[in-house]
Amino acid sequence: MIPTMGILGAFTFAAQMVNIPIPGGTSGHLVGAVLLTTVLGAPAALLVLAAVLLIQCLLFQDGGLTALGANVVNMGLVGVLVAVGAQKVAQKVLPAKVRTEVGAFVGGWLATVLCAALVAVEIALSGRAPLAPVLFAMVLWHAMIGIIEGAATAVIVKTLRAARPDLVEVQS
Amino acid sequence: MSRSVIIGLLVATVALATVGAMAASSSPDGLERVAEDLGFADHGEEAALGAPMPDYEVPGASSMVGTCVAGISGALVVGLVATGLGALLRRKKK
Repeated sequence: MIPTMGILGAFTFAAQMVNIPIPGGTSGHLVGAVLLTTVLGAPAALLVLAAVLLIQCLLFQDGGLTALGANVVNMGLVGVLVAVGAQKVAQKVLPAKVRTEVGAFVGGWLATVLCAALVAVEIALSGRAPLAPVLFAMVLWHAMIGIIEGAATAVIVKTLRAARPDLVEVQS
Repeated sequence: MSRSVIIGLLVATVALATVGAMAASSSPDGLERVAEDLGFADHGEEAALGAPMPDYEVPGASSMVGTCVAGISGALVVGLVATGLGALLRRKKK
């Protein structure tokens, strides 16, 4: 458990550096909340994400200290809760062979889109822009970015499970 | 974790933090894009606290070297902090 959190934290930080281009001149990168939750469980996943976000703002001026709380809620808490919910449903309704990977994909996509929607609401509440256009644009872009998050999460979960089935313990 | 999984994750981490980060797209991410399109990109706050490697660059070093140093050092620090949190979590559970 201890080295697992450290190694996956380092991996998540590195993966978040790699922006992948999406059509339309925008890019997106992995957040990893659903991946971490699937492997580590919700509490440890949230702690690891908070560590990633904290180091990003303290060492690299990315995200920002005053936005840290919002970032932990938006990407961390939302992602972790979505991961738990999506995996619960997948374990219940899907065949055993694919359910963990499908749950990871759906969770990754949904976490990205819900996080984007929440950020849009927060921006609207801050008075910087009206809700409708921000919400529309954020959800539209992140529906595309979420495919990357979902696919990468599913592939990594599948790879980890193939190497060590006991590593990814999914509670149904 | 088994040794092969640990080694695989470490190799992937180093590759992502160096080669991956250098090859990363410099297009705006989703939020930056929306902020530009809707005209609130300039409303970002000034940094409350200076960081040693702003924007994953090392002041004075080339972009390639800076990105690699930032990637490796960031991954290392996050790894140490997350390991420490893991130790705390385990102690709490006992």
